[in-house]
Order: sequence, then structure tokens, then C-alpha cells
Amino acid sequence: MTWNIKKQDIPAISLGANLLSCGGGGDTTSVEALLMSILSEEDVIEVKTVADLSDEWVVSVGIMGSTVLFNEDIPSGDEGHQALLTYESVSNKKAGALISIEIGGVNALAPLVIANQTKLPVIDGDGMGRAFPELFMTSFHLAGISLSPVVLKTHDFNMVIDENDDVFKTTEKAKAFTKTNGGHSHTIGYGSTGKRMKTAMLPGTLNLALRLGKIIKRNTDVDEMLSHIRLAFENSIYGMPKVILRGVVSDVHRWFENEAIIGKLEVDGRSAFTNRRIEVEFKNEFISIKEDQYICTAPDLILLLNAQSLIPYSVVEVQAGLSVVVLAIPAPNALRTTDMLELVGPKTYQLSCPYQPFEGEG
Amino acid sequence: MRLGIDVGGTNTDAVVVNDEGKLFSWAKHLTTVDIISGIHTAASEALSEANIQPENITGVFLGTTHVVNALFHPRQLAKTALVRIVKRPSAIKPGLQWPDHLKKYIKKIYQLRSNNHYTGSKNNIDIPVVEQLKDIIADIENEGIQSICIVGSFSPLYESEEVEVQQKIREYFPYIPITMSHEIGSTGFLERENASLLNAILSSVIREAMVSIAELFKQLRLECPYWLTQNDGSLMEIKDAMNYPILTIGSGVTNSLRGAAILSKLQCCIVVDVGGSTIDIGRIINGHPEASVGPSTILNIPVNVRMPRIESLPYGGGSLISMKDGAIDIEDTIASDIEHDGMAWGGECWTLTDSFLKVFPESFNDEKISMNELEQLSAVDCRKVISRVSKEMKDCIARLQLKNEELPVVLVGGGSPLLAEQVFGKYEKIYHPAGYPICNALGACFAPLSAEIDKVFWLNNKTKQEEVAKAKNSIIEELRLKGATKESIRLISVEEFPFDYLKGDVLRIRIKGLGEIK
Repeated sequence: MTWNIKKQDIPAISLGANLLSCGGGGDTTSVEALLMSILSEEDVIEVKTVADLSDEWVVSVGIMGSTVLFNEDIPSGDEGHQALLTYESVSNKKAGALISIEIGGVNALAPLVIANQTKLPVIDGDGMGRAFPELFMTSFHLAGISLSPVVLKTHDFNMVIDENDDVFKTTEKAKAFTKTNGGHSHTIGYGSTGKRMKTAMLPGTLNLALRLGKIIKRNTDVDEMLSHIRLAFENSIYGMPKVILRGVVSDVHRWFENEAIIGKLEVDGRSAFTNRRIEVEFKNEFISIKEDQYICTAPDLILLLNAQSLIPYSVVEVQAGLSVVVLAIPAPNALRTTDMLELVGPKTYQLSCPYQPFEGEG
Repeated sequence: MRLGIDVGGTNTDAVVVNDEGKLFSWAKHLTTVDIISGIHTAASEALSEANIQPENITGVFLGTTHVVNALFHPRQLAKTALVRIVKRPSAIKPGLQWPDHLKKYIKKIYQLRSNNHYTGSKNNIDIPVVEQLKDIIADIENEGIQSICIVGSFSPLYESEEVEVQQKIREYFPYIPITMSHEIGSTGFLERENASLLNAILSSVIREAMVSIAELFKQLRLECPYWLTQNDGSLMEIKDAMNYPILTIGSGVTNSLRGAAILSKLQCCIVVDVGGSTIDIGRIINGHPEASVGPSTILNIPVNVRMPRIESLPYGGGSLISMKDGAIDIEDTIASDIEHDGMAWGGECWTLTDSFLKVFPESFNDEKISMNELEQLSAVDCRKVISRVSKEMKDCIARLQLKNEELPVVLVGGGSPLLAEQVFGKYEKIYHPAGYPICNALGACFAPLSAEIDKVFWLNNKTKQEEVAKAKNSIIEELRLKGATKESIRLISVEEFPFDYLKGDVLRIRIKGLGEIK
């Protein structure tokens, strides 16, 4: 069953995507502004669900690199489309649909820009189900879809990586190019037939982002919003969200290491949670919650939300003194397989614990 | 002796205090449309009541919502041309989240090609920015442009292109107000563009107000220095205020926080300011109001200037109450004049204040109030209003409490008597100082001088410590120049933000210093 995205849905998708980003994933400000600028009230972006996919060639769309630089160096708006044209000529494939590499953060919106320019449909799903820091941390890769050929486009330069390197080498090349050419780039890759994409993708995440965003945009009572959020997740590939703690952030330690923002913070419980304190670690995203022992780790989702509005905080902006609701959500099963945990489990983040699936609300 | 003036939406207050904070007199007057005659009356009255000669006043301290009100009810806004200096012309439209009544002041948009690479290296193939200005120069005259706003990519790292464009335009138009974005905000192009554009369209309203105020003070024979308070609660000279009106927008609440701290003699406290349309709750730590962290907004427009850190409940003493499906509803609208429209004053409107008076008739001392008028209200419904307001306020206060100690709560603002005795139990540490109605004007008198650097540095061959030390010295120097005494200067925050992805070669440093005037 296809459905449509209209201009008025963009701010909600953006907010929902930020929620699913677990504090990372890249700021949506510029691309949301771009979509609000180029979409007319009448424009419709067609969304295909997993059931609608067949023989079309599906390509994955994303923006990689530094969020700070991307938000400073505003896009012309045409970069993604140019990257797609280059991809089509190198791969000799005509794109029939677009899918987001990563639903968490800016990459949820990146395919929508090209969809509006080319009138191609987007697919309701993505390759991460949240945000992860590396291009290879996708269900696409795990399902055997090759990242290359992959096209990178910056303001001034293009790069095509079309070799049979493994996905890790391709990722490194893409990062190196991005870093030396402005710090951010538009990316097209992970091409596949619709049939194959059906089983490779995490379905329904775009729709979930839209629903979550709408709930928070309504800005009603916090408990009412939380119960609507639970309902939204009930009909999804994720488990049931659970409020771990409500409290105030204290002692934020944040530093920069190996191109990642690393650190930890504490949250002191308030009202019903008085006398409780948790530690939250982050590495580009929030990766663990500890209270004596680990309660929840990646790839399960950890969210720090504004206590009043439920608008999510990123690992960059979270500061001591903020009132937050700490929410944890069991990741989709596709992210919890042994193979996937090799890529995105606690070990990847140097956490000294085996992966314990987070149970969620009963 | 100091003269403090607060020009609010409803009232203009003036106070005369000595350097130790002892209050000699205060006067309250309705704010006038031109604001000047209201200031004149209130200031003259305060001076004569204190029996102080104008030459004994050593400083005038002014806080005003005049500028922010111009955004809500547009007047004297400047037709502005936006000049972007970017890698490639962007399809992103400026002023996206703006209300239409403000957006229409963004008259023209130009997108010049930047030759700056983010690493600071120059691309010499393209045309220099100053040679791309022909259309702009012609249009300024033809289109009646009144203000220019220049926003360049990476200008927080390299301001050179913004400065070049500004200088070139100045050659043709020596007097047109020009806002350069690197002087307004840090990284984040669109938020900085929003803040800079707001600053540019406010350039006329602030100039006219400041010129009239300067004339008025001359008339009043006040020949001392005078200052405006800004968002972070510190002082700004009038000439700076003319160039950076955006920085005065949140000063009202900040002054009220500082005034409350002075009146209650507390160094750390939570302040609840009960106004007519909102209840603002903020925190004083070590004698200073806290500034916001992270993104902030003005009229829901995202900006990257620092605003006071305030939690606001969307209602105040004048908010209208109604019943919806058997439940009480506190509406967004307020009674235009509660002493005319409020039920207790014989009017037609059921306000938040009426609800409190019905249940706690003693809380407000006003002979114009008649309890008979409140007979028509149900005490049960009024209690529901009170319990909702108290719950939301207490939740908000709880969120602001520190983890180790319970901070005392200071109640100020015109509506504060309603809450003082009833809402808070006797066991809590509550202050309701006698000067509660004039704490904005009082707070303005004790605002410190401040200097701040929020800049991105490329570390090339220097160490981080060198850049930080250099920035610290320039802050101290700036405070000395502004007139701070050497002993009073202190750096209150030194923050470093890593630039993601770029291995720490680039560093954003934010340093803030405060000092006291002689």
C-alpha cells in the first residue's frame, strides 16, 4: 500500500528521525529547510512499502561527514540529484526507487529531496533502523548488497568507488575523500533490485518517524505523548519503549577521539525516580545505560528527551542542568542477530559487557 | 546613586538606589507608545521623590522590551537586503519559520560566490566577492533598502569576506546599518542567518529609540553614562545596542531574576516571576542569571544567540479561564486590562487572578476588588485552576532544583501575591520580598559588564593553550576598555567544543568574562 508525503509532513518526519537517531545521526536543520523551500503545497512524494517492491532498481541515499561543517556550508539543493545521475551513468542502471541508508537524523530526509526532483518513489524503510556511525553498519551490507558502486558528491568534486573491495575499505575511501573535500558529501550506493531489498531493509521506519514526529509536534501532556509513542512502537519492528528514568543531567564529560565524539553523563532521578542515578555513555550516539550494571546497550535504542516537550537531545548539545526523560527501546530483531551484533553490538563500542537484549515495557 | 528604568509592555518603572542596593524611591507609570514620555514621567517622579539631583546620579540602567515588542507588533522595522556569501547559491529560502508579518521585511536576496575553503585556503580562480556587488549597490537605492545583512559560510572562522563586502557597501552608503553575521552568532549557517536578519530588521527601531532616549536624558540633566541591559543580564553601551538590537531581546526576564536575587539577598535561588501573560521561572547561580544552553528561539525562530535560561508557563494573572467539556481550560488569550476586565474588578472576564481571589480572598490588597462579583464562579472550578497552576509550577521548580541542595524560591512580579502564601506550604523556603513589583528596574542597576568570545579557531601551528590564552587576554582587555575595575574582572566560563570529524585541528572556544563598573 503506497502512501504519500506532503510538505506539511516534513517537520514531523525530521523530528521523528531525530528521535530515532539516539543522539547522533546528523542534524536535520539544513535539509529540512531545503525541503520546506523546494516543496510546493501541491507536491506529493510517493512512498512504497515493503509489499510494493518488485523489480525496480533501488538505490540508497545518504549524506556523510561532519554535521557542523554541513550545517555551515549550506547545500545548493542539487548535490544528491547530481550524485544520482553520476551513479546511473557509472552503474548503467536506471534508479526506480530511493531508500534512506539511515532513518536516524538527516539521512531520513536526504532521499526526499531527490524524490521531489526526480519524481521517483521513496521506500518506507532504511538500512539501520536508528543511527550508526559507519557506512557499513547496515542491514543492506549484512544481506549481501554491495555498497559499491558508490558515488560521493561535494560542492566542488565527485568521486566514484567502483571496485570489488570489501565494504570496510570502500567506507574508508569514502571517508578519506569526504574529509579532504569539504568535510561532507552526498552519497549514493547500495544498489539492489526491489525483491532483494525487501528482505534486506528494515521496513516501516519512515512511517514510524512521521508518526513519532506528529505525536511530539502536538505538544500535549508528557504522559499522554509517551502513551501515544508506545502505541506507535506497538505497530512496528521495534520492541516496546520503556522510561528508564526522569531526572536532571549532571557531569557531562565529552571529548573527541578517533573522529568520534565520546563521553558520558549522569542523570539524577527526580520525583518518582528520586535517589536513583544512571550513567549514560555515548560515542556519536548514546550507547549504554548503567545503574550499577549495564541496563541497556547498543544496538538497542537509547534516547534522551526534553522532559517537557520530548524533543530529543543530541550527544553534542546535551548539557548539565537539562531535565530529561531517558527512554530505551528494544532494537528491531534484524539488528540483534549474531552477525549484526559483530558490527553494531557492545564490542564495537568497546563496552566491557556481552550483549543483553533489553526487554522493554512488558 | 543609580537610576534604574524598566520599560515593560504595560508599565514603565523607575527606581533610585545607592551602590549598596538600598532603595530610595520608585515610581510606576503606564508605558507609552513612544516609550519616551513614560520614561520621562517615571524617571522624574523617582528622582524628585528621592530628592536626588540629576548630577548625583552616576549611571542610568535601562531594560526594555521595546525591541522585542516591535517584532510582535511591527513598527519601524527596516526593509532588509540579505547578502549570502556561499560556495554555491542555495535553494534554501531565508526566513522559513518566520511569521509573514516579519518575513515581508526581507526584501532582497543576493547569493555571492565565496572563495573561502573551510580550511582557510583561498580559491583564486573565482571572482573576488567585492566584484560581485554591482547589482546590490544599484538596488539599495532603487528598492529603498534600509538595512543590509551579510551572512557568509564559515564566517565564524574567517570573517574576511563579510568584512570586505561590508567595507565596499560602506563606500557607497556610509550610513546604512549593516549587520555582519560573524558578530552575531557562531556556527550553524541558518540559525546565524535568522539571528542576523532579525538584528538587521530591528536596526531602525533601536536607533530611533536610543537617539530619543539620549535626548531625554540630556533634558533631564542626566549627564552620567547610561547603559542598556542585554539577554545575558549584562550591560551594553548605547552605541553597541544600536548595532546589536537582537542582544537586548531577552533582557526583561534577566533583570527580574537579578532584581529578585538582590531583594532577597540570595546568591543561589529559583525565581518565579508572575506576570500578566506568562509565569517565567529561572535560576540564579552565584549571583548571576543562567543563560540558555543549546539552541534557542525568538518567536519560534531558531537562532544561535544566547537567551536567558527560562522555563515559561504559558499563562499568567490575566489569562482567561473557560470550561470545555466539563474541564477547566486556561486559554492563550489574556484580559487586555485586568483592573477593568477582571471579574473581581467588576468586569466580564474570568481570569486566573479571579480564580485565586475566589478561593483566597485575602491574597490581593486592592480596594477596587469586590468579592461579591466572584459569587458567580464555582469554588470547585477555581480550585481546579489553582491546583493545575500549582502543580505545573512546582514541577517546573523541581526540574530546576540542584541535586545536592534545595534552593530557596523567590516570588516576584505583579501577580506574585496570589501565590505567595497559599500555593507554597510553610515548610518550604519561600521569599516574597517587598519590592516584588519593581525588581526588573532594580535588577538592571546591578547588571555587570561583560565580554564574550565565541569563535572557531584553526589551530595551524599554534597549540590549543595558546589560542585559549590569547582569547582570555582579549576578553580582559575588552572589559578594561568598557570601564571595568581591574580587581572585579573574572572569567566565568571557558568552554571548548570539539569539531566533530576533524580530529581536533579546529576548535570552537567560548569564553565569557564579567566585571563591575567603577
